[in-house]
Amino acid sequence: MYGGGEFNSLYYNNFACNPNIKEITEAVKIIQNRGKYDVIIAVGGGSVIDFAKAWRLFSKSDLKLIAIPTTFGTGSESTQFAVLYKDGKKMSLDEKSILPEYAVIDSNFALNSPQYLKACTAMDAFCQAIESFWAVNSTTESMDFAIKSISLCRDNIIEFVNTNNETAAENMALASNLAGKAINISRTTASHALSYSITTKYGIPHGHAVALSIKNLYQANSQVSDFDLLDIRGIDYVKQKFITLNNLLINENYFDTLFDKIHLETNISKLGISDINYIANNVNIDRLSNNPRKLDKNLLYSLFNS
Amino acid sequence: MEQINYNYKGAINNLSKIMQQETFHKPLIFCGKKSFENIKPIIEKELKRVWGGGI
Repeated sequence: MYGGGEFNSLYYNNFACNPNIKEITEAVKIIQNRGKYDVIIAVGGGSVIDFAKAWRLFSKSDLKLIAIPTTFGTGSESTQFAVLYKDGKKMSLDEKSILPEYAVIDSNFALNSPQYLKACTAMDAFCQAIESFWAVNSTTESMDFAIKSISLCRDNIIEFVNTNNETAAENMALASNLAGKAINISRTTASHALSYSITTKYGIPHGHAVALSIKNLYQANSQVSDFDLLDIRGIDYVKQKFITLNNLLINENYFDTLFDKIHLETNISKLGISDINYIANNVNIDRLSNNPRKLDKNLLYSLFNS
Repeated sequence: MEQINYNYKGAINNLSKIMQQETFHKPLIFCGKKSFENIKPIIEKELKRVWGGGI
């Protein structure tokens, strides 16, 4: 924590990546005399922006929040969610009042980032957009955001991860922002539901953890039938969504090439992930129920087959 | 000479516009540990530029 000299500013950074409830509680206690400040600025990745959102909520502060993301994947600057961990378990605040009033998007932050970081964050955005598109809670507005994001990801992700091309970075920053707007309406589905315990138990970064099941989830969801459909809009409506996705050249075969080109390992054995039972047992039920196809334990296990 | 990380320049210019528009001048700033050393001098400089060296 640093108080800013001649200006009444305060810098707070006493929290780790994937912040927990204890760190938020401590920040609420430490940052006293809140009348000294007139705005909150959050500069950093999704964890930092989520921390600022949570601080504002738990402090009952009415200060406006300016979010400046430095990584592009979570879309946190455009959502009303904040991810926090309690006892190693992921919790998600979902509260309209924590949505930042301002977002400053500068894709230059992503340039020169490590290749693996770019691959993880970009895959988080891509999976958010895909999951949002097929989500039970999707709307016309969220699907519009999602389709735009999917198209931008498809056209830019490989160049973004492998080069410092400024246009690719700008497009991925926009894709991330649009994916955030999409899930702010629809929420995510099964790949996100399974990812949280992979991150907490095996330390796999969030975007990488989400990507591990997206290919097989795509295949599983595209085979949805009347018997296991969760979307009340009907089987024809959901099937049409997969025709749209296939027309965007996104299908289960697409992902093998993509993962190879962005150098993302998806073989769970090579990543040291052995306890699929644990992951299936700790799936986020709320997000799972937003998947268009009901997934039983066997189907959940199959999502991790190579 | 103060080192300005080019990567932050566009964001800081936009932040400056918001700060001026809303007349914010007492920010509470959350930032990642890695970003802290880069961000602090730039925001301090921007506050000085916007508010003429003091409040």
